[in-house]
Amino acid sequence: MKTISSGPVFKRKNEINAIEDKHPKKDNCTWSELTDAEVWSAYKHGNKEAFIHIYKTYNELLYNYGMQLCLNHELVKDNIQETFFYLQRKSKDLADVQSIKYYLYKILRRKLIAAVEQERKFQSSDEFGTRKFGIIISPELKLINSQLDEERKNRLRQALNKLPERQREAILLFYYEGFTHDEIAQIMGLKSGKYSRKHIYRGVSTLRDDLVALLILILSTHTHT
Amino acid sequence: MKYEEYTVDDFIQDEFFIDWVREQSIQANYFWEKWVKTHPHKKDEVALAREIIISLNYERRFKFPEADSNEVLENLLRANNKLEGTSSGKRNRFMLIKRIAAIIVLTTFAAFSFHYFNGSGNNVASLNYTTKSGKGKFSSTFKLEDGSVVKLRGDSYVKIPEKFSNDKREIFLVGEAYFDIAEDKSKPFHIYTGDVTTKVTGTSFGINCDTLLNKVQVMLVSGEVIVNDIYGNSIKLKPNESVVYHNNRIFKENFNYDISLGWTEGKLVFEEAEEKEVMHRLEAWYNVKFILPDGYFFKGKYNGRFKNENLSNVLDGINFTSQKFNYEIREREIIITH
Repeated sequence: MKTISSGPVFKRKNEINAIEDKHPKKDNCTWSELTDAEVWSAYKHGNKEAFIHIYKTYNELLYNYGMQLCLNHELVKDNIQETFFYLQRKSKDLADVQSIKYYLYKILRRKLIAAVEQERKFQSSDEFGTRKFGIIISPELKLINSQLDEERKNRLRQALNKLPERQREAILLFYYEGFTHDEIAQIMGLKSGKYSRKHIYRGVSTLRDDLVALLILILSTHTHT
Repeated sequence: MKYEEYTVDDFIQDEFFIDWVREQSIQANYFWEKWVKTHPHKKDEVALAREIIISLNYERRFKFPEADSNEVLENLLRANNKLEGTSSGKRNRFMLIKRIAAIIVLTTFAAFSFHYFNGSGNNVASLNYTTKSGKGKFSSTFKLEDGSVVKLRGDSYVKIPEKFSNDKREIFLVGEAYFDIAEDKSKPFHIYTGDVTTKVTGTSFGINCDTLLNKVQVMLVSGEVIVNDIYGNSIKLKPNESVVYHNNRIFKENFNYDISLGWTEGKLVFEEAEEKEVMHRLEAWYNVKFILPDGYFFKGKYNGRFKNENLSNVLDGINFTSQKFNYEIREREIIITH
């Protein structure tokens, strides 16, 4: 740490390798221990390691999200590159970023939608046999799995996927991706967090009957056993 | 609506509940674990809501082929080199290097402090960190291995190595804390708060680090501290002086001990405080949220001093001297009506 001069980035890199070789199990104690604001601050000041860390952390998530929006591998790939490239060019002008993930989602969505409109490469979802932003309650679920028959599970899944596309997107961004309502509003171009809340409220309300049925089922299996 | 009346669909939309499920807040953890114990008849509803929140997923997940992912990264790194190459002028270059060097002291310290080379050279010291938090109480106090005392505000936390290194004592802070550092000239004490580092040998001082505003204030009570930011600025403080880092600028500012550091003695002091400041401080102090159906709390300025008072006594006090309002405390919300 005392001899940093003109080539700090590369010096660090060597040090990381040296250390990680000796402590192979501790490699998660590096960049991932920092907050987004700290990583961002390092990146903003030209630290290449920080950039690679940001890319490695989010590229797969962004790809999945992009593919939900528009089922076109090439278009999504190009726009992931555009998104990070935009970040590189603008990083010095950007305010301090508390959530890098939110920022990337917002840029990618904007770019992808513009690209889709411009190139008219819009693919109808039927072609791929998948709907946009389809939702499942994943099978690891213990409580539901053990006590819920297939029919109930399908009903819940169908009810979820009958919701309008934007409600499903908001639900996934909220529950799966962990964004706040304000962030979702920014990503999806809604007026304010209130509207994100509304989307999710409407979505969840239509599930109410299925949830009640589920609960009764769980309660009855409890009393039987 | 009260939590007792919640059904599954209410639970899964409640952000405070979700915080608990995702283990994102100490307060939420504390509250819900207690709540579930005291409301056993809600057990199944809570369990179902938890599972739904955790297991909601994309119906179809798309995997970015590794070759494509790497290709994009390579393109980006190449583009980045070009970008750097175009930033012209020797002076610019120099500034950049200086900045990188400065930031490396801060961020790479953070990144590699867990196992870095200590002063003597090749001897690799592997440091394990423990995190201490205020646990939602007003404040909590603990001693470090060197005898230094840290008083931590309820919503704050510090990261401390299990053992300090040979030539430095280093910790990380998020939020607000007061330090009484045991003197040891051979091992300076470094406190890292985002873009700002505070270096001391033995003194008493407070730090308030607001990560949302990216604002850090260091308030010196006795002794001497040096505060550095990532741009290479360095400011030396004398007792009763404070330094503020905000919007990437660093400057000296006066501070009032009772208002800024009174919390360390359980004192809550307001001088000519506007309603915003009063609400902000009460919210942080008591971990509550104000709800204002009429759009305001009180008008004008408020002066008042409290010591170890509970929330309703404080509200009664404000009510007594300022204009009249009614309040109702529900769970963690305070509803103010006029």
